[in-house]
Amino acid sequence: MSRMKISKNEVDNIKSIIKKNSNHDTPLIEILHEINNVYKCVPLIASKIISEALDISMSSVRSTCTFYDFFTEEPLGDTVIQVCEGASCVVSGAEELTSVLKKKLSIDEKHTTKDNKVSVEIVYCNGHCDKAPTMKINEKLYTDVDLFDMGAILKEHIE
Amino acid sequence: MINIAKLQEIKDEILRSIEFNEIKITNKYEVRKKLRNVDVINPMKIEEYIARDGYLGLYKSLNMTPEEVIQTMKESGLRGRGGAGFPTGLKWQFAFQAPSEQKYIIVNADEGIPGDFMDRILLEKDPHSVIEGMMIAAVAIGASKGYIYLRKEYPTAKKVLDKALADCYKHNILGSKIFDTDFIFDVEIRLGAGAYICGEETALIESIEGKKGQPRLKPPFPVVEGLYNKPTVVNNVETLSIVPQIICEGGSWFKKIGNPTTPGTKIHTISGKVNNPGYYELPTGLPVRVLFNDIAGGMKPGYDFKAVLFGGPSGGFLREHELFRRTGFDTLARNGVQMGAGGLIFLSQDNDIVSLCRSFAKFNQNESCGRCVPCREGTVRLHQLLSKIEREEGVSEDLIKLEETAIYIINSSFCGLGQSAANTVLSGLEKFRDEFEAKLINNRGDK
Repeated sequence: MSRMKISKNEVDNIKSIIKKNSNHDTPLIEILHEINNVYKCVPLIASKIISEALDISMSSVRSTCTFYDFFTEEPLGDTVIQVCEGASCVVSGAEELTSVLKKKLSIDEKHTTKDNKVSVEIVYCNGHCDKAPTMKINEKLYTDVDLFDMGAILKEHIE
Repeated sequence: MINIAKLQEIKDEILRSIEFNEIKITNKYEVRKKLRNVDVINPMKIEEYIARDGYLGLYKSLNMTPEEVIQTMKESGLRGRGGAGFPTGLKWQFAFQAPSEQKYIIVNADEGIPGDFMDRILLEKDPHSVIEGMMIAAVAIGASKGYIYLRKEYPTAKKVLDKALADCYKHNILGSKIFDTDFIFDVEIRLGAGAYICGEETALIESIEGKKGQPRLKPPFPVVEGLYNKPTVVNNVETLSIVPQIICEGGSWFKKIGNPTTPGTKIHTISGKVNNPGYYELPTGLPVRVLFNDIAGGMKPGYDFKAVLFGGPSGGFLREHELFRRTGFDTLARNGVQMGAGGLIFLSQDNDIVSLCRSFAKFNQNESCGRCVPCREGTVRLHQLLSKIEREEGVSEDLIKLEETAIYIINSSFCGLGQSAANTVLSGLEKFRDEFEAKLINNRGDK
């Protein structure tokens, strides 16, 4: 379950996001994008409000939400580190970056440090394969990353 | 109001103030057709695109019948550059012939195959060529609405496309009464949400419809029943980017370039430990050895060539003695090796084939949409077996299980993702079996 508590204001906000996107023929994914952007996750309460507003089942909303890697029902940390493990990045040593990173932050496959500050995600292909391995921290792209670089990059964002 | 005189006026004005610097080519193989504007024009300025004869192809197509546009495309021999290689003219013809008031064009900009980034380059650096190609397709089939399904991983492309579309509306290249005809066309961008399967055209359509991206059963094909069950053409970015030039120069112009069964050029993206990773447009039909030696510039100092991987985590390996094979959809499509969308990843002797296959299996397991059992369960099993072998805990029976599972997934999966999910494993087993065997318990010699 989501840890997020939602106030009356936020319910109204979610409703206005739904309304804003309702000019599309099929707005569900556009709505999920915006809610995920605003709240850094799609809280269950939002799914419930969407399901009522669009008159589709809660399970349709949630299965669509969880199908796509970009949407998450659990809030991510303030800092989101995305390590690319696409083919070119793996060939250039991306998996070693991931394992060092996780050890350093003491987290396992899923996802977020105990203090909820940092999340690590595996992504597949940022489309900069000629400069592999690549990673993104809060959407900022880093290319040709090696272990030494990664230490410096992390310092920039956390600690 | 846009018209031919206005295009000329914009062109003259730009040419008075800007001299375009063509990109110098330093080898005898590269050509710049799809890349002709890339790094030459400012992609944020529609006027600069127009100065390079932009939207002239659209103007010409509006003065042709749909049949003539389709005929030109068929003459060109252009085959879809997203990997399947289906003849573009034929696809348009099917959609043209499908009776319906409402039809759609979709640009498949969900380039997700790791190792491929040619579409990103085109979208970021020459967005109007793709928009114009899309509009010509719309003229041909009679569509009034287009979607660009763009992966969210490409924020720069989104920015550039937003500006390009706004400029098109400003100049009345989009909207109604385009070039003073009754052609109406509107374009909307839809962002993907990180699902690789949405590169499959029917999954993409499901996603635009606001659903999970799970592929549909074909037939009916999208050209008959696509988006909202209306006739829909889904074309790849690179495919559409060359359409305006084909309309301007004629079908035979394109047909003359490259390998006769895959005419024209292909943009290849090159990665791995080679001297010149990057993107290169080449005529089809070149030996892969040329791409390795003359384009990629060989391996970086300190790295020795092991293999080249085509098609990313769903492709196959070529070894040193196979580099004579020539690029093209038919000439490479053997033993699981496919040209795919044109990405080449060069592997060095430091790369462990078992570990790569395990990583690719993890990718396919993650990206399986979960709809059919062979893919959903098979990719998990593949990953388990490969992990076990990588940890040096496997026995010789595991290799047999691995091969059986791979063949089972390929033969019985519902869509292209599953049908190619085990290609690298089979290619690895065929070409680097010794590396798998060396990791088995009974072969390690210490037990």
